Amino acid sequence: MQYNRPARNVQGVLMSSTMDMTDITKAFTEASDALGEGELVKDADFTLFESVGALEIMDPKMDSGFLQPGETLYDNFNVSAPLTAEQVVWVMDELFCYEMAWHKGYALLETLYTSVHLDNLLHQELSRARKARKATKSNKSAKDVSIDDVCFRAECETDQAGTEPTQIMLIHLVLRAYCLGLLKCCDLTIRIITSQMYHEEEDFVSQTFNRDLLSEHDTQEIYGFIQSAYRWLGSTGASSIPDKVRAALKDRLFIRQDFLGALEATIPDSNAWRPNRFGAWRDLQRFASDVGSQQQIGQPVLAAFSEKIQRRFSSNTPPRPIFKLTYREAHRDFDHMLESIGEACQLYELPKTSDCALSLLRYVWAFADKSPATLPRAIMQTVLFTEGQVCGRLDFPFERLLRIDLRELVLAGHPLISKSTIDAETSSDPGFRLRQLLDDFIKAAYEPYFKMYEALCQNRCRIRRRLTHIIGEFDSLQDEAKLIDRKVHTITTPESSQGRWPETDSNYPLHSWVSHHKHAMTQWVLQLGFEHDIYEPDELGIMYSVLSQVQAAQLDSNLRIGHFAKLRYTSVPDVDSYERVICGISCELNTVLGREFAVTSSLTGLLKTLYGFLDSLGTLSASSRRYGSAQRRFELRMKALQGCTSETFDFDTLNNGLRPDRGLVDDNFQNWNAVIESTLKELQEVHENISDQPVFRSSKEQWKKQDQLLLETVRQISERFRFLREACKDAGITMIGEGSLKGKVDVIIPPPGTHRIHDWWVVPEVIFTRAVNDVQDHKHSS
Amino acid sequence: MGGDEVRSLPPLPTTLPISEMRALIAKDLSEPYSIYVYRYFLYQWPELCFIAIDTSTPDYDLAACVICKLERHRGGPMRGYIAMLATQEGYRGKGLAKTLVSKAIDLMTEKDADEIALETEETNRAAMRLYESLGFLRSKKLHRYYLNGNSAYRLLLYLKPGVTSIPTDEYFDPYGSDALPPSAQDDSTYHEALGNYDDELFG
Ligand SMILES: CC(C)(COP(=O)(O)OP(=O)(O)OC[C@H]1O[C@@H](n2cnc3c(N)ncnc32)[C@H](O)[C@@H]1OP(=O)(O)O)[C@@H](O)C(=O)NCCC(=O)NCCS
Repeated sequence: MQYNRPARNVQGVLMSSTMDMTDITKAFTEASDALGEGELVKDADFTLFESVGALEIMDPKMDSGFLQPGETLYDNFNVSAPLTAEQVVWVMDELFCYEMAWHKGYALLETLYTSVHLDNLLHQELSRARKARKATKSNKSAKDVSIDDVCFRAECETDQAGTEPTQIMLIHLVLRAYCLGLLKCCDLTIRIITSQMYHEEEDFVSQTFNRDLLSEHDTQEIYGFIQSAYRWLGSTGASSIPDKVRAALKDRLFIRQDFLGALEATIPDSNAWRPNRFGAWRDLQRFASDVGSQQQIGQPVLAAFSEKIQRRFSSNTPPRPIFKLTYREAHRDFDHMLESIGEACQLYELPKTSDCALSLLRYVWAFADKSPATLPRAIMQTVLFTEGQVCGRLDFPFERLLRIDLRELVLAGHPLISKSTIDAETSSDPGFRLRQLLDDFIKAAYEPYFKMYEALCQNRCRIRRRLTHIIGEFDSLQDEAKLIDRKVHTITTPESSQGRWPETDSNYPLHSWVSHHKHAMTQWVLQLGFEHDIYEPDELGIMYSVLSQVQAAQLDSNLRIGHFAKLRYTSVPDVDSYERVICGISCELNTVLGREFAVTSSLTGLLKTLYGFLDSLGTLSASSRRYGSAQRRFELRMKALQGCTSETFDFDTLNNGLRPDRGLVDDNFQNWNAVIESTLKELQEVHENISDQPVFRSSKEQWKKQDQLLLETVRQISERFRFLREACKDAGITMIGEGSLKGKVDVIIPPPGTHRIHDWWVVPEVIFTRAVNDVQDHKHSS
Repeated sequence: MGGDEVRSLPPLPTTLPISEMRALIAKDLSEPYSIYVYRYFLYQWPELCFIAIDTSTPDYDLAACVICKLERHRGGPMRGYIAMLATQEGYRGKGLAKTLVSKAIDLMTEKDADEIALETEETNRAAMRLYESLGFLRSKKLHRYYLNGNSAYRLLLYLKPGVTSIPTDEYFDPYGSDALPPSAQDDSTYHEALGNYDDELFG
């Protein structure tokens, strides 16, 4: 088969008097004809990146300017043409759907820029800006940012003599105001998102393709337009519009105005008056969700949107397929987005949350758990990272959060933060040296700690990938922590401190603190692996074993931390002192953490046991894999935990640990049942009798939900065991390791999403094989 | 495999049915690749391209093909990369893809590859089953990797022990050799994203 060269079209070359052009077509054609078929001429820098970036001109799939024979570049839609009120509602709804698609990560070109109305306004804005720049150059004092020029202007003015005034107002006042508001919302959205960490293309496309989304115009000015449109709709001039339609138009303008206002108040560096930001977002959510649930009354004007518009943009991407959400989907996304933004902004209203680092971290995790869209994630970063104003609190640098975290977990009552250390003035004072040491540590820990929070504000896939690296940074920090701990220890031992501090700190508090966070992140990375469905059915057992090992290390370090926290608590002489309160909180916090670690560890153990048992019954063995080996695959798995050098994960040990003890099936079941019972009990009690300290208060709701999910998960595990017990009985299997259920029962791994009670805890479905056909529908993988 | 025949290609540029291959692959792609992408692979690693042709048809119809490359990944392990794979609709389910991919893996192994990588759409069950039956594992999920908004999985297969401990060059030119998401082709900020440490160590 011959490779056909695409037809070359060298006609219509651009010429300009200021350019000196040489036509190289002939030379080029001759040179390329001298090449053999398939021969590639490239320099060493021509990479896959370049080859993937190349576009073939005149290939309709790649060349966005390519016109089919007879095709024109423009559609003939007149933006000034009268529309009925119902049609205006429809255009607004379509715009809203495209806006939400853009928020989802699709480019403006394939979403909002398909609107003929927006295209027209953006075009007017472009010429306005150009005129304004010219005027400034020639020193004319033009009012250069007036938005008055940004209005619908048809290519050729049509005679509007016969048009009713109402229809003129609907277009030139109502729809225009809506469009201006929408464009400004996009401008602010881009500003908020790009001021924070996000991934271009993956999360969001900020590119505006050489159009300016009214960035030079003040939000107030656009507000003014929306308000006059709103007022006009209530006036007699609009009385010919049916009530229902008028209300629909007003609702849409209202949402637009409030969205704009809420965005403006959320801009990190804006001087805008900041009303209750949380309230503003919540009110908007309530109202928008009401409107979204109403019957759609718009009447389509299909010609108001055109796929062709993107062709006129200078773009080096192939033409993109238009992406659109339905009205329902768009509202659902909007609702979810507003909910998450509300959660982020709620931190402004909960100053006590940032008084407690661990509860703040938990809050951010709960926020991240709902997979918020990019804008809420950027707003969360604004809330957390605005310079010196964590959660909107004045004089609250992010570093303070780190100090609080250290105090809560490991340093309450410790000489490192004691009053005499803080007050030490002369360099001969040991307290002075201690303070320096703590500062050294803070300096080293700041970045990894900050990154941990920042990671949680990324998309779910990125969270896992980023944490993988941050674990490594904590790992390196741990050595430094140990060094500082030692130095601290030599200063605070009784001999050198002349009895100034009690001997309670032969532990390594900073080292323990690093270890705590490192182990927590290691668990998250593993758990996110379950959530992302990356493990194969026959790996689940060993992955839960790995998790179990990390949890054991975590629990171990928690016990040590808790032990010293208690020692310090009891050695505070003054029972009414602030220090004593701080120590008390730290003790309680560590106790609660310990209970949480213990209970998740039991749950992990149960799943590990279940998978081990299923494997011993021959129900999990995967069909043979042609390449690689179990060892190699395990090595690959452990790559994600490579940063955690303090743990070694040994395949054989973990694998052997998965095998249930030999012996009677019934005996094992009895043991497992006992574990299930005790886990259920642990779960019921894990968050009982906890004081009402602010440290805990904001977490209580979350705990309740979380514990409920875990309880259900354990009950589900219990059902599986019961099922297997019956199945073993049926099959006459009485001894572990003797007999198989292969071919008798099937194991189905439910995919993440709606099929698991909690995405992090994968409880397999187990069914009798003959029933398989009945459940084909939700058979996912086995 | 009946009338089909699997064979390694003679070196370019003699008889490669490049436009047929391109047409076959483009059919299932959500985004078009320029001819340079095909040339990039076929010119540099012709031996790692395998095709199956139906010798029972007069024109020796192309039934399936796989296109790969093999080079050092960020100055570290020798990484094979399966760039494209497709089986013509009427020829699916006969083991063609599995055979071609196995051939490619065998040759890469022979050429001292440490690991083999590829990406596939998260919804592409057929491809995932195929690769997993060969021993690949999903190593990570890539959010909205493709232009159509779909996420992907990176799949990896280790061929030798100790691959994770082969050091990679942290300052290695990230766009020099690694695979790129098609959706990143025009995006200058993607350069920054790649420069980000995130992708450099955990491949
Ligand atoms: C994926 C694709 C290449 C498979 O080609 P194929 O020649 O039909 O595959 P094979 O016959 O060699 O199948 C090998 C294994 O793949 C899996 N598989 C193939 N098609 C499958 C399907 N429709 N559903 C589930 N598994 C499937 C099976 O595990 C099969 O092994 P088995 O038959 O022993 O169970 C083919 O479907 C295709 O061209 N798809 C479109 C392009 C594409 O997705 N390419 C991969 C991009 S990474």
